[in-house]
Amino acid sequence: MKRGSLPGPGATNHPTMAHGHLTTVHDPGPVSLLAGLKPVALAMAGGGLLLWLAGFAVNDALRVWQSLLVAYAFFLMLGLGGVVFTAIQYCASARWSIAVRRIAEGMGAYIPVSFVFFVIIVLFGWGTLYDLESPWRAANGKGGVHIYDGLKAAYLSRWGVLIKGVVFYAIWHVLSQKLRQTSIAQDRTKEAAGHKRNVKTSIIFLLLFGYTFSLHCVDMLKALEPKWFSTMFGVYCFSGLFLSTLCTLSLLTIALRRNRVVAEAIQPRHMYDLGTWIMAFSCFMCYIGFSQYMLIWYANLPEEAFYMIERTEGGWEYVFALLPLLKWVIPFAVLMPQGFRANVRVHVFVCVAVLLGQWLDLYWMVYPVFSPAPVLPGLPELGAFLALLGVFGFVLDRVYSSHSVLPVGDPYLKMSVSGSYL
Amino acid sequence: MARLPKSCVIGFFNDPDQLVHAAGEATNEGFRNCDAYSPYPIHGIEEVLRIRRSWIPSAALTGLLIGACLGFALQYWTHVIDWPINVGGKPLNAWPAYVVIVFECGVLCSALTNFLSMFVACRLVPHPFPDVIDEDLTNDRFALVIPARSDEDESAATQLLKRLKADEIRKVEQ
Amino acid sequence: MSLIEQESRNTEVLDPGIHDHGVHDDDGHHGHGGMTPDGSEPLVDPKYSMRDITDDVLAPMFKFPPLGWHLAFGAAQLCFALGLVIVAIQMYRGLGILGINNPVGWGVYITDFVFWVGIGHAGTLISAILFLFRQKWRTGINRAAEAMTIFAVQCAGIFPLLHVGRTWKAYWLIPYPNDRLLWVNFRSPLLWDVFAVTTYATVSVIFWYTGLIPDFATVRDKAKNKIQKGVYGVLAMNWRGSIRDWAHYERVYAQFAWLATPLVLSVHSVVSFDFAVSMIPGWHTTIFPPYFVAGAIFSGFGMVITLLVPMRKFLRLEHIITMNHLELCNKVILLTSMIVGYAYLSEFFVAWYSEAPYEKAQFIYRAIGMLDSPQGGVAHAWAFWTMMTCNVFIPQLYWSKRLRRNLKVMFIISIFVNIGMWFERFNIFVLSLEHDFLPANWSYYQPTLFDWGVTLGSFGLFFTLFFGFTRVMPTVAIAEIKSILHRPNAGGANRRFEVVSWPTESAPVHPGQAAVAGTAAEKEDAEDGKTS
Repeated sequence: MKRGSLPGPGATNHPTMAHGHLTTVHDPGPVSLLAGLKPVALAMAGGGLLLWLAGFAVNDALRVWQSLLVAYAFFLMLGLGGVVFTAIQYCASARWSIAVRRIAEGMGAYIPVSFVFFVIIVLFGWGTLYDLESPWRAANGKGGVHIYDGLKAAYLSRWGVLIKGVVFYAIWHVLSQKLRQTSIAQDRTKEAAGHKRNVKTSIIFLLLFGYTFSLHCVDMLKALEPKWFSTMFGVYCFSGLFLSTLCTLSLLTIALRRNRVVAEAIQPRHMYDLGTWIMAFSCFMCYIGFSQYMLIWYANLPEEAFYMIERTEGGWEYVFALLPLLKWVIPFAVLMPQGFRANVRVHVFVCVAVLLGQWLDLYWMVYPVFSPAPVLPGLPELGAFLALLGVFGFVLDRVYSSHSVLPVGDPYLKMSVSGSYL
Repeated sequence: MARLPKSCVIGFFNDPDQLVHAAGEATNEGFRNCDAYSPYPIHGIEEVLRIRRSWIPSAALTGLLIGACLGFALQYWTHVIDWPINVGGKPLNAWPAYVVIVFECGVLCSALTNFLSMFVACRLVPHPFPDVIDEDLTNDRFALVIPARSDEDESAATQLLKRLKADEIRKVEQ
Repeated sequence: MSLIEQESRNTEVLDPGIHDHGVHDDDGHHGHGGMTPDGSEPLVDPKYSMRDITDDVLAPMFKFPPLGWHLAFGAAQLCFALGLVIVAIQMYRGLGILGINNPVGWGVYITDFVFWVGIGHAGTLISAILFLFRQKWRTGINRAAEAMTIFAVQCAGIFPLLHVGRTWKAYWLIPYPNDRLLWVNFRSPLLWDVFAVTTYATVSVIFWYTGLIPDFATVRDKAKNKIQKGVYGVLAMNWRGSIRDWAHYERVYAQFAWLATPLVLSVHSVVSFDFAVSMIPGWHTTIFPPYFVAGAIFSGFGMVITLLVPMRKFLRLEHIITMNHLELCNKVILLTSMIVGYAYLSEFFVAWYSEAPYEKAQFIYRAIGMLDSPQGGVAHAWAFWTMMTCNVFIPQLYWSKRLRRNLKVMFIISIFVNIGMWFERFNIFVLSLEHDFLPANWSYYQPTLFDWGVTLGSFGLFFTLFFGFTRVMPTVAIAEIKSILHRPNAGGANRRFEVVSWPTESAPVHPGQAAVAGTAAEKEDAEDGKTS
């Protein structure tokens, strides 16, 4: 069998390690994600912001707001995805994932930060992106589109979206913080009841998330084409969310495993399982994406098909072709050999490819509304992405260096580490 | 079924842990090509007995690719070459419509390859009254088969099995 | 850094460490109680030995069935016979005896077809998807569920064949070079169905048979009757249980699971494509594929409960198919009910959001609409509300643990789930066709007694096969359940990082041996530890 090239835990400390069961787990305590790179993250955020702002002078406002919308959706999905992952693991009573749970849980701390970007987009970018009377729409042959249903017009209006957004963010933030606070309190108290409480919170979170996330995607992404509709849209966004979250989780885990104590608890086995999940959900993503495309292509109804036609013509077809390649072929084929699934380099390669695919997916959803031919991603796109990446990294660094990166109080952590659930 | 060697010593155990332990001991004592029998798969014993990884997954993967290619070829040849006809304004090579059958053909071919490979690999043949070693080996008993080419081998194996507290020891000469 | 000693929650009992007799720093808790590592009840009470399991599972095969079984089997056969008579009448007189006409060309037959295909999905979910998720509870119920899958797919397959009208020409669906110089239309979703359902049936059967081989060997070795021994001997294919064979076998099984998982998702997705690629309002909606799959799993688990609750009682398998198994099935029902509910709501939301008048009109018709017809105002809204009640409202009772674990309650709810899922399909197919684009087309669909007769016949066939199965085959996967008995660390799809535990007191671990026994991960751990 091939070996993953992950740094392994120091077995010599544990006489029991020789035959594979840990009965003790060390607490790594808070671990810095960025360590010495913190200034780099700050520089990235600041530089990105400047680049993005420069777009207003160099490019037009439309491009700048589009770039922010794509980056906003990309990172919001990661922040939410971490909580979704955590909640699913709680609900399924999964044991393997407890060692990586704290890392996923921490991603939820980005949600309130994302709210700031949400408000900025809705308050300042609204007229550019969503206003049906805007000159950009008219220039792209989208003038004269009206929403005749007054209720729908109100639903998709600036204030409608803002009010819904406030409610959705409140739900996400409160529940994700509840999950995290209970888990952190467990570090001290070690009481098993916390786990049970979190299972309940998770159920509530997932129930509400299913609806709120779908509706938020409608507000922010689907509403760019207010006449287009697809019942699959929420599921499509969700599959992108979950796949990109798994990849981010894998990357974060690899980064945190530089700490030896963390590496002792989060073993190659966990990386292997994450790899399997990435593989499985890349198939799910492909399935959902194909189903949505094929059904619209096949039925060819004018009120629906225009969306796909816009996105598969004039050069957009190349972007479209990249999506299954990056989000399905690469993860599926590369992770197929079992020996590769716990290998750090392979993980990094696959995860970066998938995250690139996810960004392209959002870009492919947003940009064709206003541009019949692909806009080559340039400085505004880079700026917005870097700015939010810097912020995301900075937030996560703060989270991981404030509490232990292992849920040391969870009664089942030992099982996750020792592999006795197998 | 894997065949029994011409002459061998069989030790019976009542506990899977004992079996794995005995297999490890036998390997350490230098016995090669030992086999074990168990009512259910025991994990880890393959490594102890140094059994190679199964080749079947590669066969199944090959089946998958061949089946998928044939599935596409059938549709492409039918609709584009042999009988080009416009249905519902779709292009002749309407790939999104072909995906389903490509997938199904791939899976079918792979599953059949997988299934038939098992028959080849495990030499499965219908046999109404096979000569089983012990009727409880498919129930709650475990056996370690140590091939013995010479009398010394045989006595060493018997000694080893005695030391390992085998429930019963049988010698087989064919 | 503080050293955290995890509180012992009886983890040692089933932890591999238990076998080491003090090599580990255990908390002295081992040896008592029968708890699984997470503190819940074990799947099978550890007091039962492997021999008990074999004897209890095989008992129904070795004795003459009781009167009750004969009555049930006879009743099922009677229904089946009735169905056959009606099929014969239909062959003679044609499809005109059914309720279908313009515009409702797809009625009860297609509803039955999709209903039965859906039922099948739970079996594959249990045998394949739960295997990949390392859910060990599947071992208790997978055999019966897989049997259910195969029988359900057989029932399903009948309906499209009957529905083509000239059933004797049904082989025209197969692409083969023929003297009509015609090819089938591969661009038609109906042909995709032919491929999907036949592939699904084939793969389910060979997967099932693969699982049965070691168990047939057990039957062969336990049977006293010469004929029985010979028959099961042939079926067991000379299986001996050699570790070399098991090594191949396990790979084959895992491979099947990897193939069957996307396959099962594809089958019901393809069924949904039959409708979703069209442009009828209510049929053409992109969420159909995952929504149909969730619904199929929902209905399949409903049927699993309907079958298992009586089966475990009458075959005295309560200690093998335990309340925990049933409760987990009920949790799956609750989960899929929520997904189906999400799909219903999203359809309504999008019907409103789309501003498409036909789409809106269809959904208003479903929920509260009326049709003007010669019979006066008629509506199928009751079908819609039956569906909502059975699929969305009633399963909410499962939030209560007490109800999830109550046999009577779960049996009744499972019947409601079956009814609800039948009406879901009816609702989608019939109501959409009744109320299409042109008001002049609108017309009310009424099934005839012949429709219901064939439906009853399919239930007869299904139960005939299932009752027969309970007497001629091991209803529980014996080999698999033994692998989780007392040893939860065995089993599961992921063997690469399996924890191996075999050193005992009499055999202290020495380095060479550890290297043989350890998995790759452990070896790596040990090496890295040395170098650092």
